[in-house]
Amino acid sequence: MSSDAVALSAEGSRARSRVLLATLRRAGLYVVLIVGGLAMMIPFFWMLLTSLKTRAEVFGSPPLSLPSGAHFDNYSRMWNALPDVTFGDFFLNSLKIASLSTIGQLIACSLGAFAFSFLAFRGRGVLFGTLLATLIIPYQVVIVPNFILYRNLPHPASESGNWIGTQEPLWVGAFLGGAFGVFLIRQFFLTIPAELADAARVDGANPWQIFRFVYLPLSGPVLATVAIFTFMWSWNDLLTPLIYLRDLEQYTTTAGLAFFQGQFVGKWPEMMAGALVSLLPMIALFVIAQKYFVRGITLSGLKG
Amino acid sequence: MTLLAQRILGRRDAPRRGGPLASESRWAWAFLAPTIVGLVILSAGPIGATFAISLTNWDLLRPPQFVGLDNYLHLLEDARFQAALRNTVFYTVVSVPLGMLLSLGLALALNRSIRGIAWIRTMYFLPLVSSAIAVSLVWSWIYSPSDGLLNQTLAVFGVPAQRWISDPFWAMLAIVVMSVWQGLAASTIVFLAGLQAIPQSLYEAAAVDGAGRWALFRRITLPLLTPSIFFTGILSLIGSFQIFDQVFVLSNPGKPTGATITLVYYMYENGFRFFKMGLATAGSWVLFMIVAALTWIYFRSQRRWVYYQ
Amino acid sequence: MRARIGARPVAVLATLVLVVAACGGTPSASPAGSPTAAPSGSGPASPDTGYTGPPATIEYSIWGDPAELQSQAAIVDDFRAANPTITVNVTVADWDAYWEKLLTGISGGAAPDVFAMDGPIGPDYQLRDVLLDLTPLIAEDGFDLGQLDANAVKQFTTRDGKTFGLPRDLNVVALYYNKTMFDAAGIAYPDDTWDWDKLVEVGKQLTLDTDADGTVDQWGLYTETTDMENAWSSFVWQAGGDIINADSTATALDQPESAAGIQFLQDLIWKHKIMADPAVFAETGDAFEQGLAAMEINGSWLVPTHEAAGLTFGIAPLPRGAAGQASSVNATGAVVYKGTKSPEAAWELVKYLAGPVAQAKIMALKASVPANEEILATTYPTSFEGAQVFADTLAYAHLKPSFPGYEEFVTILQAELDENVYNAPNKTAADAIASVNEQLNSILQANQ
Repeated sequence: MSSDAVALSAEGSRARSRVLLATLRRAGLYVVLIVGGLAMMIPFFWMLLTSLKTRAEVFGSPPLSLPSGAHFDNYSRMWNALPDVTFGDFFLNSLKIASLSTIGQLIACSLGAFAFSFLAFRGRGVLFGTLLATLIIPYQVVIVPNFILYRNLPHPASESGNWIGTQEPLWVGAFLGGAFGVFLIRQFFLTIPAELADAARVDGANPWQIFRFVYLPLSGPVLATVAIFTFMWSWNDLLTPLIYLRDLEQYTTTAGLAFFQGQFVGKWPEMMAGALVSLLPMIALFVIAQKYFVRGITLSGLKG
Repeated sequence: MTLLAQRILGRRDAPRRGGPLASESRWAWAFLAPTIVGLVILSAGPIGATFAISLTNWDLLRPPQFVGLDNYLHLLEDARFQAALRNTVFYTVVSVPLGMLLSLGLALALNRSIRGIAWIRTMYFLPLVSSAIAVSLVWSWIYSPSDGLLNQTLAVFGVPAQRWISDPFWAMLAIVVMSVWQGLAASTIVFLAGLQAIPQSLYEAAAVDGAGRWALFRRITLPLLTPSIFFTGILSLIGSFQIFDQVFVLSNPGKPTGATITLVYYMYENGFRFFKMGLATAGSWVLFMIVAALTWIYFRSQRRWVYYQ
Repeated sequence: MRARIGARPVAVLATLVLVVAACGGTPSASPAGSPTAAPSGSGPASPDTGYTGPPATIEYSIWGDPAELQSQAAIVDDFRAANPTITVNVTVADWDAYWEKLLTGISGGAAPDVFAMDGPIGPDYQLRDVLLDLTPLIAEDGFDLGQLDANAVKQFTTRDGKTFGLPRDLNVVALYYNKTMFDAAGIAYPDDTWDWDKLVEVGKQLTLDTDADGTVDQWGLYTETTDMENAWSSFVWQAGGDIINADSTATALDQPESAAGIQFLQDLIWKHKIMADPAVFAETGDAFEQGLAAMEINGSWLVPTHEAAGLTFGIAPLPRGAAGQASSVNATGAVVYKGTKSPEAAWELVKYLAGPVAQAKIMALKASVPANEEILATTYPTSFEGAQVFADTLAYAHLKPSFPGYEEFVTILQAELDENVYNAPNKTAADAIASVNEQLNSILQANQ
């Protein structure tokens, strides 16, 4: 064997061991990431396992042990715990309220964001600053002023004649925008090159047309991000439904879950079945839309 | 905010073809109509109204009487308010840096295009989309002293059982851990976005110059990530001062003790349980002022350490 | 990131508008709900003719869980049948949400017409002039308050003798015991000769580590520490102490007897160790119900729960302390919102709920002791095993303290006891009381 061949083969084995090292490193990374992810999910596993156990099993066996069988009757007991309404009704209510809120936020926030990023007007800085400052307000501070307003707004279809006891207070406000959505969308709009709008102006487009035909078509990711967050906040909101809703038929899933807590104190299988079912739509939505979470924020640049 | 100013000025200097400024201003107000109505009757208006209420002895049921600054003076003497303030500051000081460090590390680990990364990310992000009530149900079990998951796990390593929620020493930390677990994904998402916005060419150029991993992180990743750090910092700060749900649910049955009561809970309790809406709103104004001041300082600090591309 | 910006609803226009609206919305500013005008407006009402006014819709609001909603709706069914012109809508919320809803509802002028009132909290609402004074309606109707438990009526009567609600049901505290566990240990069931020492003695015999792994598998006793009603107020009275003085102007907790009662509960947990650390069952609920404790000191409302759990159990009087027998009684009542559009129809419902028909139905649920003397004296004591004990207990039970400022008072007190007595083995009840007594007195003073 010539010395050249020896050198070549040594180089080959070095390259092989480099490849091997890279593979090992990657495998190690997978292991770490997946183990960490599973650790994050432990509470969810526990939820699922508990929801399938009998009550005796919950107290008699370790928390993360497997159930003796799939006791789906926990789910049906939870689902049908009430005489006239099922958990399904709560679901539909949540779906309606969260969807309307999302639509409202998308419309109002994108309009507002366009004004703050594209149009010049007196008082823009002050107004934007004021809007951002409202992020600081804890929700509890404005409960009573809100309630008094809704109490005084006429409502044709409600028994009381005003908005109390209707679902409207839970979503109509979303059509009046919000700091988070306006801020995020504005940050995105600022990254759209001015040349695009200028070209449209040359063609005689007015601001509405620029908004509608230049900005909006480019904004899919950021709108998706705002939509997901709005939907999530609306779906998970507990205090507002508890204050405004009177009849069980109007309840949302979170309000229903809180209500069941009383009925099922210590009855973990039923409670966990309810909690898990209430999470499913959010989990599904998240899995479908998760890439937008990151993209929407990437594109907005997050610049002050 | 400098970038904003530049953009405004830049637009003003550009030749205009779309009509005079007055018309643009009219368009702006039309676009902003919903937002402004919302601002007036939904947030800024009520916060002003609560200031007026804080100067009264309103109990929600009887007509309020003006009492000047009495409520604010009462806050100075109220041991429960001071406990709430102390606990909230403790919560913020521990949870914000902890949450940000963990999410930064997580974002760095998750920021790669390997197969199945979408599913792995989903595992880490799930807590974020869960409602506080579902999460708190599970965690109250995890912290349960006898057959809770945490004590059972620690027992394997010979650590004696702790009373995570009822022991004043652990109580607030237990709430911090639960909140960090739930909120981790929010900051991680922002950091991931920030990482993906960093041009790959910068790393390649530096690698040619022989920079090591740590140098790449220190010289490129970290500086270019400062806008994301700034953004998550401000949202975490605001969010942490508003902590309520976790305290409310984890303290059940029973009420938060001096070890776990927070500012927003103090407001809730006085306003809706003790018939002291005036005092509650005074507390909320103190909270508002603290957060506003911190936010202002934070914004002022950004030119020292936040690097914009 | 948990801010609820997206879901934040609309609020009010301006500061002044708001405050004015707030005042205008409270019933005190509207003469429509004044009690004297209401009954005379709809013709003469002779006793016991039922409701003769115009058709009315009454919202009846209660706290509770889905089961509670069903039972209250069933109770109201008969009322609907007897008064076809009155529509009653029953609404329900869990305990915390109930009070939030009620307060925001009243302050916004959109409160239920009739609502459930916890005895101790009543004075705070009565004082703020949002409850209809029922005295004229009672007089006009010739309604005899003597047909209801005197203690409970007192809870809904002001110092100057006005009645602002009628008791609907009573909650009495007694000793539950698991017969299976007593039989297994060959111990005689508890009776009215028991005192504190006996409780501790038997408690120790029944606290067992059955599998010898070093942890207790069966506790001698279970109770809840987070409210005075479940156990510790009874201990205070049994020791000869009290919570507050007779005219609600100062606490009575700083007497040594009062501290002794609170200390006894701490001792049961940490000294005698016949009760688990309160945190152990904080999340999983009632240890007695789960078959993990041989005795439980708690309220009459648990009978259906324990039956549903399939336990073989009995009910006995609470053990005697140094000052003899004592227990706690607390009423839930029905009150009328002062701003109701139909005060007469609302009164009919309140009267019905305290009457024999509704009371017999309440009795059948076993969850609460009827407030009606007739039912209490006749059918109730034999309605289930142990009912007699609850009925007898009423004779020596103390009324749960009810005074303006109650919520603030107990929150401060209970937070101190939770943190520094029941969950703190090395501290004493006397020290805890000393550290909050002054603050508690100032709350009572501020509410005079």
